[in-house]
Amino acid sequence: MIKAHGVHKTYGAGTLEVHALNSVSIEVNEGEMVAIMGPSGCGKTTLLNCLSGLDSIDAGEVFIDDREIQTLSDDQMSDFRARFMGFVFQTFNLLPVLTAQENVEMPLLVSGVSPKEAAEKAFRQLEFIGLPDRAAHKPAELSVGQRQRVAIARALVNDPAIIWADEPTGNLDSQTENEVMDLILQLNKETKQTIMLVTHSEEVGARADRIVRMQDGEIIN
Amino acid sequence: MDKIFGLHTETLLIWVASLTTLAFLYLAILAIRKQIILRISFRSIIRYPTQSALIMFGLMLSTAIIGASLGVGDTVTHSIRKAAIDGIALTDEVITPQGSRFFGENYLTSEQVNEILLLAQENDLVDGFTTAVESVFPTINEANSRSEARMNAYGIKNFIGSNITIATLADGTGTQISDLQGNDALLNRKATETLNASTGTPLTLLTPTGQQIVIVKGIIEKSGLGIGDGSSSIFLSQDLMQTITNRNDAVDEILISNAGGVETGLEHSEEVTKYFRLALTNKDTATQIYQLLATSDVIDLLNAKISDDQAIAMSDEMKDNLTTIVSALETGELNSAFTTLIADPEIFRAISSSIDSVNEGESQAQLGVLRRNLSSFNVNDIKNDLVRLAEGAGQGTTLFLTIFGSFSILVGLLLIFLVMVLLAAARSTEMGMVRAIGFRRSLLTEMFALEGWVYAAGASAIGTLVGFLISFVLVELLRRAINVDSFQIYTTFTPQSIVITFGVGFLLTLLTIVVSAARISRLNIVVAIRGLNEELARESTTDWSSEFRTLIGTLGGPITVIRSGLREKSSDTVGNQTRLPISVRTIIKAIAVTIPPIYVFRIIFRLIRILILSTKRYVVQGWPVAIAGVAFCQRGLQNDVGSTFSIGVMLSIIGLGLLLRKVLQRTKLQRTTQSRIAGSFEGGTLMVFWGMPFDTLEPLTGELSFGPEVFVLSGASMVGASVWLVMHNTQIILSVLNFTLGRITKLRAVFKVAIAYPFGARLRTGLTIAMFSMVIFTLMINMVLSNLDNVGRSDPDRITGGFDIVATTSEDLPINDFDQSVAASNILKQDDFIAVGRSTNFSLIARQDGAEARVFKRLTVKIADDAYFSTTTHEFSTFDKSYGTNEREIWDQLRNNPNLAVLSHAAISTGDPFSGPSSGFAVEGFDQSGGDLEWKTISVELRPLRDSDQTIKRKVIGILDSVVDQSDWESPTYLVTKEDMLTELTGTPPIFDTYSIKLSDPSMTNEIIPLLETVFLENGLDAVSLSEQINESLESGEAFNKLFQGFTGLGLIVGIAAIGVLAIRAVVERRTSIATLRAIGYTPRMIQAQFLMEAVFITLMGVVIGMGLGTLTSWNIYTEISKEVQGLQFTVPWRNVLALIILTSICSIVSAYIPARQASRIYPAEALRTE
Repeated sequence: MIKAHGVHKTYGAGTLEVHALNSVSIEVNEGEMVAIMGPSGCGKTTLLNCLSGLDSIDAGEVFIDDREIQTLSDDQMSDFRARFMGFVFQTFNLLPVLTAQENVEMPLLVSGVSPKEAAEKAFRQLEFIGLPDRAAHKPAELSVGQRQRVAIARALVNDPAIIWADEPTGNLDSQTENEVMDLILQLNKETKQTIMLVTHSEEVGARADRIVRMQDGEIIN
Repeated sequence: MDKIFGLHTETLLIWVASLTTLAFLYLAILAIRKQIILRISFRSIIRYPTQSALIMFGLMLSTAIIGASLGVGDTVTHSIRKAAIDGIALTDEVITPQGSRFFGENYLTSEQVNEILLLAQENDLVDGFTTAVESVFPTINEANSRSEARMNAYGIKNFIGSNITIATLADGTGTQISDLQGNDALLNRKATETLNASTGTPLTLLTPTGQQIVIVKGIIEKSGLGIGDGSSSIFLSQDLMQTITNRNDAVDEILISNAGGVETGLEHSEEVTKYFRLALTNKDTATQIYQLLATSDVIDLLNAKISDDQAIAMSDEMKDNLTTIVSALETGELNSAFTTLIADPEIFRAISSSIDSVNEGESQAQLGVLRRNLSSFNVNDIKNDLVRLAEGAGQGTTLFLTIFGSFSILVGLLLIFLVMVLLAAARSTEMGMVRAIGFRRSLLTEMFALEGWVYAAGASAIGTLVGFLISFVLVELLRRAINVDSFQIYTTFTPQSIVITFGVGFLLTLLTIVVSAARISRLNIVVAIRGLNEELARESTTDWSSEFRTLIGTLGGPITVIRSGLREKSSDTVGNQTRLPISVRTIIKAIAVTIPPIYVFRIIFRLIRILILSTKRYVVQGWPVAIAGVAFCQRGLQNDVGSTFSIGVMLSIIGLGLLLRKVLQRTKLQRTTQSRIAGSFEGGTLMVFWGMPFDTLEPLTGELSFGPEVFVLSGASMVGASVWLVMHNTQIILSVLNFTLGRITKLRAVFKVAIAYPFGARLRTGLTIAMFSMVIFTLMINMVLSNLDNVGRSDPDRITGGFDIVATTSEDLPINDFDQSVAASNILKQDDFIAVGRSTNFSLIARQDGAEARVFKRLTVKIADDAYFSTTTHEFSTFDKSYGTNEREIWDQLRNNPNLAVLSHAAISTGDPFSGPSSGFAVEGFDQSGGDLEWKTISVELRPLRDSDQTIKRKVIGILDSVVDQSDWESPTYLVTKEDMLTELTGTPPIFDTYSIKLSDPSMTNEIIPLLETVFLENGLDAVSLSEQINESLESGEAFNKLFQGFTGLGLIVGIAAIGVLAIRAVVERRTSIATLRAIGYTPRMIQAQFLMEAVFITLMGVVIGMGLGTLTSWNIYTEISKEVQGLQFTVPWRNVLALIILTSICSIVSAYIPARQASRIYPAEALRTE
C-alpha cells in the first residue's frame, strides 16, 4: 500500500541545516497498522507528513497504491488526500466554528458528495463512534476525548484507504487513550484500513501490528 | 472660521491644544518613568514595520475626515470673505432710504445727504464719504452693433476721502472713479467683452430721457466699491447720471469708509453703524417705543427669551443686545444704547416676536406701526454682514460635512477599536506572560497607551495631511459644481484648523486606544497563556478597601508621595545605570501631583472609577438604566425636544433588555439561548422604534422638535440595533444560508467555512458590518432623497407653470405694448406666442385677520394680469374647495375676482428640522406637517411699508405647490393676486417688469430669446429659458450630491481597510485550521476562495443592512415630505445601488486578495509542525 525508498528531507540551510529524514525506506501493507516510535525530534512526524504528501521530499520516492505522489500536482494531491486518506492529529484540529457533524461532513463535501448525503453520512459516522447526541455541538462544548473521537470520525467518513494518525492519544488521559485506541483497532479490524500511527506511548505502540523505531532521521528497527 | 462644531474656534483651539499637550506630557513622563514598558511597546512597533504602517493608515482616516471638513470650511470662509473684502474694498457701510418701489421716497435728497455728511465729518472713525446714483440701461456699441440689454450704470461723487473711489484699471494702475467729466465713461471687463469695446469707443445708452452717447475713457478691473464688479457695468459722472435718470440732485445710496485700510476699517464697523443709527433715529418715535416696551410684562418676556436654553437660533450677541435693552427698560429712562439697538432691524424683530402675547397682541401691532417712523434711512453694516455671511457659509459647510461625515468618523473609530482588539488577540500569550511575571493590569493599559501614542501621533499627522489633500479635491469638485467664473476659490487650511484637526484626531484616537486597552487588560492570565476560551475565565471581584485607600492617597497628594518616599528602600542604581536619589525623585513627584490640574484630574479619575465599580452591578441589572430612560423621556416631553425623548426610549429599551437577561438567567435555558432572546428583544425593539414612521408616537407625545443631530442619532442607533439583532441570531442566518446557497454542492465545502468563521468572531464581524452599514445607510438616504426631488425632470411644468421664457425689463424702461412691439418688428411674429403674462413684485406688510400675532410683517406681493392667470398651470398644495374643484378653476377665480389671492408654500409651517424660523409673514393655525390638509379661506390685511396707514384686504383661497418656490424668488414667502391691488393702493396703473411667455413651439425657445432681447433692447429686456434654468439647477444639484456622496463614501475606505485588517489577522490566527483543511483535501484555490468569500460576505451583510435601513428611513422621510409636496415619486435608484454593491464588493475582494493568497500558500506540514 505504502512504499518509500531513500527518502531525504532537510530543513533550514547552511549551518542551521537539519537532516530530518536521512535515506528512509519503508513498506506498509494494506490493512496493516504500523506505529512509528522514537524520541522527540527523531523525524516521526516528518516521515508521516512526507509519506502522506502533506510535505515534500528532497530525494527518494514515495508510492501510495502504486502511485508516485511526487509526480502529482498540488491540486491532484489535494484531491488524492480527499478521496484516499484520513488524518487524526494530536490537537484534534477541529474547526472551532463548525458543529461536530459539520466537521465530519467537510471531507465528504470537498470530495463532491451532495450536501444531503454528506449530512446523513456524517451523522451515521457520529453514531458509529457513539456521539450522535453531540452532533450539533461545537468543539468547545465537547470533552477532549469526544473531540478526538469526532476527529477520528472525520478521518473515517470518506472510507479512506489510509489513516494517518499523529500522536492521536498525546493529549488524552489514560482512560480516554484506551477508548480511542480501542476505536482505532476496531476500525482496523472491521474495515481493513491501513493505519500509520505516530506515538510516544509504548502501550499504544504495543497494540499496533508492527513498530517502526526511528532515531536521528533514520529507521533503526 | 469663528466657530467650529458650534464652539468658538479660539476656545476649542485652547482646549484641544491644552488637552493634546497634557496627553503628550503624561505619556512622555510615563515613558521616562517606566522605560521597561516603553521598550516593550516600541519594539512591537519596530518588529512589524509593515503592520505598524497599516495600523497608522487605518487610524488616520477619522482624522482625515475631520481635516477635510475643516479644510473645506476654511476654504469656503476664506474665498467668500476674500471675494467680499476685495470687492467692497474701502466701503464699510451703506446708507439707503427706507422707501420701497411704488411706496415712499426711494432716493436720498441733497438735504439728507448733507445731513449725513455733517454727521460723518464729526466722526473721526469715518474717513470716506461717497454718494452713488444707480440705474440699468440698454447699451449699444454702434461701431459693431453689439449690445448689452442690462448695463448697470453708476454715477459716483466724493465728499470726503477720495481714496475710497480709486478703481483698478486693466493695466494695473489706479484711477479716480469720481473724477469722470462730461460724457466720459469707464467700462468693466464683462461689459468690454460683451460690447467688444476699448478706450475711445463711443457707446449709446438708451435712457428714460432718450439716447445718450458716452466715450469709453478706460477699462476697469475692480471698482473697489463693492458695486459694478460682477455683471456688465459702466461708470459715468454723477451729474450725467442724475440728468439722464431724471433724479435732479437725488442719489440712491451713500457709501461710507471707516478710518484704516480694507481690513482694519472693519474693526470700527460696529461703532460707526451704531453712531449713524443713533443719529438718524427719530427720537420721538424711539421714546414712544421705549414707553410702549417699558412694562413688567415685556421685561419678563424678554428675560424669558434671553434665558431660554431652547432658543438655539438666537446668537450670544443677540442675547447680549436683548440684555442691554432690558437693562435700559428697567432703569425707566431712555438711553442711547436703547435707541441704537432698537434701530437694528434684527434686534427689533427679536423684540417684536417676543411680545406677541402682551395686550392680546396690541403692543406688537403698535410696535410695528412705530417701526415705520423710527428712521428714514437704512444703515447697513455691509462689510461686516458680508464677513458674517462668509463665516456662516464656512461654518455651515463644516457643520454639514461633519454631520454627514460623522458616520465615517464613527466608522474610523470603530476601526481603531477593531485594530486594537486584533493586536491584543495577536499578543494574548505574551500579555499573559508579562502578567504572570508580575506586571500590574494598569501596566498593560499603559503599555498599549504608549504604543498607541506613537500610532495616534503618526496617524493624526498623516490624517491632517490627507485631510488637507481631500479638502483640496473636494474644493476642486465644488468649484466645478458652482461653475461661476467670477468667483475664485482659494484653497485654505488655517493654522487653527491644522491644530484642531491634529489635536481632535490625536485625542479621539488615543481615547479609543486607551478604552480598548483597558478592555484588553482584563485578560485572565491562564486563559491568555494557554490560548483557552475567554468564557472559561471568571470575572475578578472588586477590592473595595484597596480602591478607597488609593483614593485617600490621591487626596493626600504630595503628603502621600513624601510618606511613601520616606518608606521606600530604593536603590539609586538600576543595573549599571545611576538613577536620581530617592529624595530628589520624591520631591519631583510631590511637586507634580500638587499641580492643580493634575491633582484634580487624579481625584476625578479615582472617583469615576469608584462610581463605575460601585454602580456596575446595579446597572447591569437593567432597572437603573430603564429609570434613567424614563427620566430622559420625561425631560424630552417637558421641553418638546425629540432627541432627548428618543435617547430616553433607547435607554428604557436597553434597561428592559438587561432586566430580561437577569430574568432569563433564572430559567433553565442555555446561555446562548438566553443571550439570543434578550439580544433579539433589544435589537428588534430599537429597530422598530427608530424604523417607525416619524409621526407614529405623536398622538402620545404631541409634536416634538428635532434638530439635525437626530439624523446621526437615529442612523447610528438603527445600525447598532440591527447589527446587534443579526449577531444574536447568527445560527438562524447560517441555517438559512446553508439551506439556500449551501445546496450548491461544489460551493458548499468552501461556503460553509466562509460564513461560519465570521459568525464565530461576533465582535470583529459585528464591528465591520456596522462600519459598512453606517456608510451605506448615509449614501442610500442621499441617493433616494436626491432622486425624490426630480420634479424638475419628471414634470417641469409644475415649476415653470407652463411658460417657456421669463423676461424682465429695467424698472425705469417698461414696455408700453408688448404685442404692438412684436407686430412692428420684422423678426418676431405674434403667432410665435400663445400667451404673454405680465407681472411685477413689490413689498408690503401684512397680517392675518383674527390671528394671535397682531403685528404686520413684511410680505412680497406679486400682481399679475389676466393673461398670466389664464395661462399658468402652477399647482396648489391645498386650496379651498368652495372656490373650485381643480387648479384651473382656482386660477380663474383669481382672474375674475381681484379680492382673492393665494400664498406661496413658504407661508405655512413645514416642520423642517433644517430650516430656521421665518422673520416675515406666516400663516397661523394651519400646519400641513401636523396633519392639516383642507385649506379654509383666511383674510389678510395688507399695508404699504411706510407713509400710509391705508389697509386693504385679500381672501387667501389656496397655498401654492412647494416646488413653485424653487422659482427665482428673492423671498420665498409671497402673495399672488390681480393687478388691481396696486391701483387700489397707489391710484396709478401698475408698471409690469416681468413677462412670462408661452411659445407656440417650445423647441424654438433658444432661437426666440435673442430675438426678444433685440426687439426690446430699449427696454433692457433680459430673457431666460425656464427649461434651461431647471436643467442648470438640476445639474448643479447633482454635482453637489456627487460631492457629498464622495465625501460620505470616504467611510467605505475605512470599511474596506477593516476587511483587509481582518483578513490579515485571520491568516495568522487560522494557520492550523488552514493546514487541516488542506490535509482533508482543500486545494489552494479553495482556501483562497474561502477567504475572499468571507470578505464579500461581511461586506454584503453590511451593504444589505445599510441599504435596508437607508431605504426604510428614506421612505419615512418621503412620507413626511409628501404631506406637503404632492406628486413626489419614491424610487430607489437601482442602477446606482447595484453599482455601489459591485464596487464595494470588488474593493473588499481587492483588500482581502493578498491575505487570501498568503493563506492559500500556507504549506500544511509547516503549519501543523508549528502549531
